[in-house]
Amino acid sequence: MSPGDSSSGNSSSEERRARLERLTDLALRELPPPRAPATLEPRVLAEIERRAALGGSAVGVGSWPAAARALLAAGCALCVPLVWLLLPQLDGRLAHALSVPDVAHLLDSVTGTGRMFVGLVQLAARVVYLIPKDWLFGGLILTSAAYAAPLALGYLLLAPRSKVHSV
Amino acid sequence: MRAYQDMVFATAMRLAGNPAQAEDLSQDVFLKAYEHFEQLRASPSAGGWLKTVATRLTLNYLARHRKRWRVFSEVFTEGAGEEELEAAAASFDTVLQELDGQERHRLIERALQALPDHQRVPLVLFHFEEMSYQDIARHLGHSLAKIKTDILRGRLAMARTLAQGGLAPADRSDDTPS
Repeated sequence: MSPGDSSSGNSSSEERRARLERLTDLALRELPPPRAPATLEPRVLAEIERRAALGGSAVGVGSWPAAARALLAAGCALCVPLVWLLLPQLDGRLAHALSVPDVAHLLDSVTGTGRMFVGLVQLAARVVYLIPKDWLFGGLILTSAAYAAPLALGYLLLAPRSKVHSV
Repeated sequence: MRAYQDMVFATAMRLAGNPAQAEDLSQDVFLKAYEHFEQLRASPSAGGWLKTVATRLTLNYLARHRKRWRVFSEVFTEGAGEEELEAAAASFDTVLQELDGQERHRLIERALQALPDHQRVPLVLFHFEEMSYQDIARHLGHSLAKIKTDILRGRLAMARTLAQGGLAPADRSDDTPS
């Protein structure tokens, strides 16, 4: 006698729900599991080989062996006092390097380029200041919409559609 | 890997409902297992570990798309009538008693795969993964009442599909492995 054979004429709503749950459970639990496709194993092995060929750097630090992770952490920790110790010496050498004529000339040209950029930014700021605020915000909104619309359209049309997506 | 690949694939397949996605997720599960190979090699609970990871990865995948199916899920929150419950139970009963094994499995599998995600996922977690309503609600980030409603609606929808002989409107037999 199956669980569904019990008389249900006068059963309450809760009993009916419980009966449906029991029958659904019976039906689902007897299903054989779907078999993995034959392509799964070769795919996994190929990916493992690919990663092995790339070496340890191809996988995340989190999956490195514990010793390698400890070594990396120790190396990073060592960098801090090393920089602290070397900085004063580096400072003296840097001052000396900047006094060499070729380097000084290079620095001058870099500074000149920097001044030119600052001038351009100031000019742009003046132009923006002269534009009425309503126009400015309107233009910003229109530009944002012009960028967002094709992006949204592209996402809707081109986003991968598995069954989960298409619900 | 051969010993567990069907179990891992079945877990991902029933939750994701898409063979291609289930294969991708299964691959991710085995790559994670490979990263923990030393611990798993001699472990008697390797199968449980693989099942847990398969479930977690698939739920994570589904969570990334949850906003889309949550909207649809909210629409169906009404309860079921007495007659509907009775008819649904009768449909299951008929299929379980009157059809032979292979035909019965084919119909039930098809009815399950025809469910929308917001009904199939909690239903699978409840019946196959043996999770409680509370755990399902916590994992999926929904209220307990909504999870109960979705599962009930899923059972009723499956029963309707079974009553129609598996010929549901959203027939996805091409997606369902034999």
